Formats: sequence, C-alpha cells, structure tokens
Amino acid sequence: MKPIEAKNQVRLGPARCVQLALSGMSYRMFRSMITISILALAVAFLVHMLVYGLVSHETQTAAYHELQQSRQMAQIITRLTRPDSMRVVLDQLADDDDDVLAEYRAWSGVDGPTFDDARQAAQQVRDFDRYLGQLPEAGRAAVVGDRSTAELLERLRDPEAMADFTQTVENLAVAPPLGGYDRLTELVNERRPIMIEAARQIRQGHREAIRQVRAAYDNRAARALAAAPPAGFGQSLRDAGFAFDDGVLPGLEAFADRADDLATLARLVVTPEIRKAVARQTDVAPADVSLEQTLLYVDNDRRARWFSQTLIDGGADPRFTPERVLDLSEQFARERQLQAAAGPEAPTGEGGILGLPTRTKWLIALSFLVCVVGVANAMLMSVTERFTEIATMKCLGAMDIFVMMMFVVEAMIQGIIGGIIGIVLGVLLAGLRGGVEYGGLLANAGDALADVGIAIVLSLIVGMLLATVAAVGPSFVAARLAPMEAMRVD
Amino acid sequence: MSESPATAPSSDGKAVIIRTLGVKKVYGEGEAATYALQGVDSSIHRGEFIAVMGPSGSGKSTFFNMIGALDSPSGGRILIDEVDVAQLSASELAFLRCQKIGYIFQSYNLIRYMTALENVTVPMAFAGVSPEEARRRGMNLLDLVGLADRWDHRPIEMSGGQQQRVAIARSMCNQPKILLADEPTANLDLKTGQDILEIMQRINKERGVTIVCSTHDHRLLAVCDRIMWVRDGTIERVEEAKDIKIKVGSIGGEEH
Repeated sequence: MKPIEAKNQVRLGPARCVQLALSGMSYRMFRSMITISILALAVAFLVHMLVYGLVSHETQTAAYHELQQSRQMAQIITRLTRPDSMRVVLDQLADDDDDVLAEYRAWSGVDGPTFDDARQAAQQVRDFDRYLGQLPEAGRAAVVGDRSTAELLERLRDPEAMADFTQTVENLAVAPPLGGYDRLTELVNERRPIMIEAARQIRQGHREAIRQVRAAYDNRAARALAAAPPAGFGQSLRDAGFAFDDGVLPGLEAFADRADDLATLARLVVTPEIRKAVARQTDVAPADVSLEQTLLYVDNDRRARWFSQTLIDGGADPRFTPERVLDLSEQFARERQLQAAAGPEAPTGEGGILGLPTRTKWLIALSFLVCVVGVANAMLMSVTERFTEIATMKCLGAMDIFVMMMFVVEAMIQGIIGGIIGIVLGVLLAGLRGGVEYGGLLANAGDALADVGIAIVLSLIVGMLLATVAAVGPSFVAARLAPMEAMRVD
Repeated sequence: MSESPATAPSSDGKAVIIRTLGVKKVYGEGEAATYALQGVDSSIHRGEFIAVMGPSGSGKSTFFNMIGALDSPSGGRILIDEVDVAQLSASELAFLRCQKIGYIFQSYNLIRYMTALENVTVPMAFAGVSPEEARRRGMNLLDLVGLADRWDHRPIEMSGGQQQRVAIARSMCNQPKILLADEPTANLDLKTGQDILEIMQRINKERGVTIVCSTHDHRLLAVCDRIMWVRDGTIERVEEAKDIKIKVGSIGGEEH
C-alpha cells in the first residue's frame, strides 16, 4: 500500500483570516464591543492629550506673539517720543533681548569690551538686588535700611561703609553677595561707574536718534508719525539705530488709534455724568465704574448703542459710534483672552508632539499601560472561551499560524474600529476643552493642524498595534496547544 | 482511495492502516500520575469498521486521541499508513488531520457562528479547495446526510442529530481514508443514534473508509466488523463481530 504522503499543509491567505475573524466578531458582538470600547477610550485619551497639547501650545505661542507685537507697537510709539528711563536702560542691559541690545550698543558709542563690562555690571547689580531681597527681614533692615539698592551701592564706595556692610552681613551668618566681597568691591568701584556712564550715553544716543527721526520728517510728533507711517519710515528708524520687526509697522496706525481711543475712554468713563449712567446701567456702585468693567459689559449691539449714546450725550467725540465702541470692546476682550492664554513666560521653542510637557507624556504612557492590560485581558478571555473552537479548527487541519492570525486579525480590526471611534471622541473632547479654555483664540491654532493630523494617524496606528500586541500573547499560547489539550481545558 | 493495496499485510493478510506499538499515556507526574494507556498494541485494517468498547475511564478516548494524532503518546509508536506520527512536523500533522482523517465528536464540536454549509467547508478551505468547489462539494455532502435543505442553519438552530450529521458531512469533506468517531451517538436518542450509525455504515461500505468508533452503544455491534474491548488502559481482547452477534441479537433485538 502506498503510504500517506507526509505533505505540508496549505497556508491560507489573510483574506480568509479576515473573513473568519469578522464572522467570529459578529457572533461575539458583546465581547467585541467591550474590547473596542477599551481601545476607543485609550485612543480617545491619547488623541485628546496630543491634540489638546498641540493646539494649546500653538494657541499660547500665537497669543504670546500677538501680545508681543502689541507690546512692540506700544514700545515704538513710546520710544519715538522720549528716551528710555535710566531704570529701563539698566534693566534692558541686564536682559538678553538682542534687538534692544543692538540698539543700545549703537547708541552707547562705547567699544565692545566696555559695553560688555557695563552689561555684566548691570547683571551683577540685578543679582545683588535679588540677594538683598532674599536676606531675612531683620538682616535686610540692618543692611539696607530704607535706602534703594542704587543708593546702597553708591554708599559702599566708601571703604568704611563697605567694612561696616561686610561686618553686618557676616553677623547675619549668610553667604557673601555675588560670591565674594572682593567682587562686590570691584563692582562698586570699577564696573558700576562704567555702567552708569554707558547708560547715560545710551540715553543720550536715544535722544539723538529721536531727534534725527523727527528732523527727517519736519519735526512731526512721534505719535503722528506712528499713526500714519510715511514711506521709508522703517528705514529711517533703522538708520537711527532702532531695532524692530518689520511686521509691526503696518498695524501701527490702527494700534495707535485704538490706544488713543482707549486713553480718551478711560478719561471719559470717570467723568461724573457718564460714571453715573454706567453705574445705573450695569448695576454697580459709581465708585466701582472702570474702563475695564465698562468695556467688558459692552459686548453686544444693543449695549454698544446705549454706550455710544451715553458717551455722545456726555460730550464725547462723535467718532465713538456703536460700531467703534463694540470694536474697542471686542479688542479689549481679545487682549484679555490673549493675556490669559499666553501666560507670563515665552513659550518654549519646541513645538509638535515632542514639545508636549513631560507630565502629559507620562500620562499617555500610563494610559497605554492600562489599555494594554485591558485589551490583553479581553483577548485572553476571548481566547480562553474559544479553546474548543481552536481545538476543533486544529482537528480540521488549521495550522498554528492560522489560529494565531485569526485572533490577531480580529484584534487588528477591533483596533481600527476602536481607534476611529477613539479619534472622533478625542478630537471632540480636545475641541471642547480648547473652546472652553481659549474661546475664539482657537482659530489661531491653524498652524498646529498638520501636527494634529500626524497625531491622529499616529494614534490610529498605536491603537491597532496596541490591540495586536495584546492579542499576540494569548493567541500564541492557544495556537501552540495540542488539539486535545485545548479541548480538555474546556 | 484508488491506491494499490497491500504493502504491510497483517497476520491475516489484510492491509494495516493504523498500527500502535506499546503506546503509553500518562497524565500528571510522580505520585499523581495516572496511567491512561499502558502499552497498547493493535492494528486496524483498511476498510474495517472497528468498535472500541469499554467502561468509562478505561482509556477509550485517550486511545482515540492517540490514533487520531490529536495528542502525543508518553511512550510507544503510532503508525498511520506505516508513517510514524511522531516523525511528522506541525505542518505535516495538520495535513494529516485535514486530508487523511475525519473526526466525529460526542459533542459535535461544530463552530457556533457558522452555518451548516460553512462548517462543512472549513476543512476544505484548510485544504486549499476553492470556495466555489467547496460549496459544491459541501452541498453534496449535506445531501448525503439528508440536510441539504438546512444548509444555512446555524448549529443552535439544529437538533443534536442534525448537528451530528453536519459533523459527519464535515469529517468526510476531504475524502479521508480514516474516520474516527468518539462516542458519536452518546448524546442522541435511540432513533437519531440509529440514523447516525446507518450513515456511518453506508460510508464504510460504499466508500471503503476505515472507521474506528469508540462507543457504549451496543447497536454498533451489528454494523461493525471487529470489536476492541478496552479495560484499564489495555486492550483486553479483540473479537470478530460475527462471533458475538448472536449473543447481542438476543438481548438488543435492534439489528436487521
């Protein structure tokens, strides 16, 4: 008799696996739905974290830059009017704003090393100021008294006063300032005079630059120049040593107008008549009426009409039309939103998914862990309750790889479905949270859209991988069992 | 089944299709070890209808699993068509189970979420038969067991006897040489059990398929050729059915 040939079993294609997985899933709809829900929740959490983080970062950055621009515009107008005060100059010298430093370097007229010495001195003065601030209350009273830091530094030029100061600080048993008394002595006697001289020259140079700009435009006031920048205005500013972003100039006029109007309004709302009218309308005590409170109140057409009428009745300029009032109110509200969104510090340069805060990354990792365990458990249950089916399949000639693929494909399909549901949920959630947090500013986050797209695709892949990885273990165990061992488990 | 017969004739001249040599099976280890089979020597001939009988726990099912290559023995050798099952790779084992052996279980073991026809076509899919051809063959087989009109019913919508008939159709779909049935009638009433036995007998006679059937059902004595009596993990004795028919006939009165 011809023996039974020991031929290899045919391998089945993935299409057949998908078909079997689908029919299996529809039979176990309830369990599938639980698995899908777990996946959807995990992916939703991930997507929400990623999208919200990205959008939030972008909104904050945009808000920061918009505010920065307003600040620059305000600064340009101020700085075209009068030179920076001594205090501002010293602060800026200690800071790292490259634009301003370039201006100062040009205006100071001193050579590089001297300018650097002046900067270092300014930084040391600032450090010294902080040092004094950190002294215990009693110690500060003994050392500083009611003098300002500048006065104290000036006094310390006297060796006797310095010895006195050293003695007092040592009695307090704290570390010496600036890392050593010799450095303090050096600062007081050598660097600080250089710094003060440099600052004086910077202010002188600034005054000169303002004069130069105004001379170029028939001595017109800075405000007028800013409101309607003449051709070549930017270039003449630059020639005079001013440093600024080109993007600032076009918006300067509207900004200046608004600043003017706000200043006028601030004066108007505290006149007795208007104050009384506003107080009556908004139901607050007349003493509590302020520009802010009033502008925030005027947030729709009806109120704008009322306010405009009140202003004009109170003798204001007819340019305060309801539209103008509403516009000012909206701008003001937006400014407040921007300030709330931007936060006190400059946003970090790193954008995109990698720029997310560490805490968020940990949360995501943790949610993944929970999800892997959840899905692995669901898969394990699904595999365990199907041992008989697996054994039957193996009796009928299924290969281990086919049994494994059946489960893995099922998990992948669940991963895709769960992933898509999760993405929809997560994006909705992120949008909702962003809307509550940032309101209309969310429209500024357009630049984040590409990253959001990447995040969504990433989440889908991750969701699928998650389900697959979680399914591999249990299905591997199941596929390796001899048919009868599997049936015995039942 | 068109191969020329006889390479390894047994003592009485018939070709041996399944041979076991000192097969042992131990469950558990050490103190708790249970000896389910303690050195079983047997040979089953081509075209034979063998009944494996014995009390519960005698090792019938274990023996059945051994010769069906569903479980590996703790000792001894199992030769199916003179091929040592232990020598086969996983893939070759899958081929053997798919193409050469058909299985029928006490609890039918149909796949719950598939229709009767789908259940029948699963092994053909594993054998690489095209879906159209599988459907055609599947319908023929369902017709053979008298269930052609119920091809789209799921197991839950069928009686035990119908499920078992689907299982028989499924076991036959790749034209196996051997049909292994593990107490196929144990869960069925007398009439349905009788139907199942008749179908099996027909398969044995018309298609020449070797059938090994473990059972408690004495009606099987009427249709089988030989009986293996299993007790305490060994084959107690093997009898020709015709030698004991008279005895049983007087008790059961079921045979024709």
